[in-house]
Amino acid sequence: MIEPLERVISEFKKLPGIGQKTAERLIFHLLTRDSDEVYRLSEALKGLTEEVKRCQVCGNFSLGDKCEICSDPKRDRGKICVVSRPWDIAKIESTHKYEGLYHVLGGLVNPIEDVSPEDLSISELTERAKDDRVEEVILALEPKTEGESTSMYIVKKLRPLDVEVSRIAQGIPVGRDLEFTDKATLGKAFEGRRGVD
Amino acid sequence: MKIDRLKITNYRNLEDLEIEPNSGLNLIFGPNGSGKTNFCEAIHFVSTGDNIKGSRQRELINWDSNYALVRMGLLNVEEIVVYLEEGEGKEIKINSKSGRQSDLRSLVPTHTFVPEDLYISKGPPRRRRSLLNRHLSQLSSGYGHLLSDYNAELKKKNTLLKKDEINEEFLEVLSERLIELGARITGERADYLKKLNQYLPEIYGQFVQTDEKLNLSYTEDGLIDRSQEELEELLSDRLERNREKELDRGTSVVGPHRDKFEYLLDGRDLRTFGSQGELRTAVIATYLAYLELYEKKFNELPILVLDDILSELDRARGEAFLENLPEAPQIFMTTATRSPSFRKLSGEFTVLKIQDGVIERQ
Ligand SMILES: Nc1ncnc2c1ncn2[C@@H]1O[C@H](COP(=O)(O)OP(=O)(O)OP(=O)(O)O)[C@@H](O)[C@H]1O
Ligand SMILES: [Mg+2]
Ligand SMILES: [Zn+2]
Repeated sequence: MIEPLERVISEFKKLPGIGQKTAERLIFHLLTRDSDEVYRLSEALKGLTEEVKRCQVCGNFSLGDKCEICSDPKRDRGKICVVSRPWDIAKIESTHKYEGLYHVLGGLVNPIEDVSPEDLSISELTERAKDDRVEEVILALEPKTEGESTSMYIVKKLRPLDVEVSRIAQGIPVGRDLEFTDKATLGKAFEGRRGVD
Repeated sequence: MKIDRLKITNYRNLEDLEIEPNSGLNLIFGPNGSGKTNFCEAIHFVSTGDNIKGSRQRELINWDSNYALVRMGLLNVEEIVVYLEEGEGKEIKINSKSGRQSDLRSLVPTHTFVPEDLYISKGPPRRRRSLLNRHLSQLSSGYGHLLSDYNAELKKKNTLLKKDEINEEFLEVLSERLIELGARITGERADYLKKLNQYLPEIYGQFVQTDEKLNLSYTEDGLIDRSQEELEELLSDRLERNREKELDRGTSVVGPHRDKFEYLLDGRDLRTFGSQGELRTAVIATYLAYLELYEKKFNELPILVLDDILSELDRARGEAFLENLPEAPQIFMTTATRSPSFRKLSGEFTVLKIQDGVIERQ
């Protein structure tokens, strides 16, 4: 096979879920498109490394050091919603039911995949939660059963702090006080969102 | 739900087989190696999407072919097709539209009895544990998920226990989760055993002239009629006591994945004292009790596929089995020899003869 082809194939094959056959099919497809389109794709990919950064505060995708949500003065700084991946933020945002801030863990604790709590931004979360303005941390870790132990671990870590911890899956706060109805409502709103995916 | 038409293509040694089964009882005869088990497997395959032996896909496809296909027509579903091609996944079609495995289970409830099941009473406790899991996955709606959640967390904990550096707090979290899920599994099993044991002695008595009572029980005492909290506490205590051992061995040593069950005949362990026939009869009695509970719960029975269930029973027991066989919507039953017990069969049935993978109505 000629070298430029081989180069692209070997790069494609490094992507998850793409083997030799799929790589060949993608390349065949690209070769039949006009060159502008292929050029745009390569520019878009370049932008990925040059323009897309991670927010220094919450871990969301961002154009600068701070993401749009963290720099928006209208967001409620009393709430932090914890998600495992940045993509989850977009999902929650699309419900327009949540006005607080986010925190991206970067995954879920899983010894099998060699992800331990230290590999995730859990200590960053507890640091953020120490800020007096933070009243509540909402755990929205997906998928639900796989995220369960990670949620339990975070609950333990947050327990010594003066914050309410609530869980999206149950729609009720975990703490002693169950009388925060607006949290329950919020939880239900999130629950509705779950059904969508 | 009944199977109207069945067409099997290149499934193991069944290269091209087509029948319209009886809507009641179908008896399948054939010598050893003729394809009886393969026939049962194929029915199980098309109605659940699963291979009951857990064989690799290539083994299911006829050696001289590169695909296998099982097609079935039902009363109110036009057609279900499960297609297997070498090197590809399996494909499920329900009325020409692609379907999922979970769709099948609710469309065609089927229960398959394989000859290996007869050894459930005899071997190690894991066999009886897996029998209870199979039954409960059918009878209790949340049990399957419960079990798979438990196993997923258990795997995490076992991996963690083997690491050089262990995050103690996360280990504690996993243990808490295993206690909660584990206690629920134990509770479900205990409830099921209790119900099962309401039927077992009587059913067993119909096979064996005896006043002795057959029971399937937890080896450990004191697990029946406990609340979730009590079971959690029990499990938590045991985990606490075995903490060092678990760290030492790098694996979880307590929990429902280690639960042991035994058949007791008037309190004596059947595995130690029972004859071969008694051991097999215990399994068959359990099976019949399960079917009673199934019918109670769903108001109908699944299609029964019974491979070689009579082979290890003497004539009297074979007859007792046929007499106790419930009125399932449809039954497929194989044997290598035409058993004299069949004179006990009342009502209409179809006899199918299988030879070298070719089936013929008699
Ligand atoms: N993939 C395959 N292709 C062709 N033949 C196969 C395949 N897999 C298994 N067989 C053959 O199918 C034959 C029938 O097997 P099966 O287990 O159904 O017999 P059986 O009638 O149940 O016999 P028994 O009475 O001994 O239980 C066996 O001889 C086996 O070699
Ligand atoms: Mg057989
Ligand atoms: Zn941010």
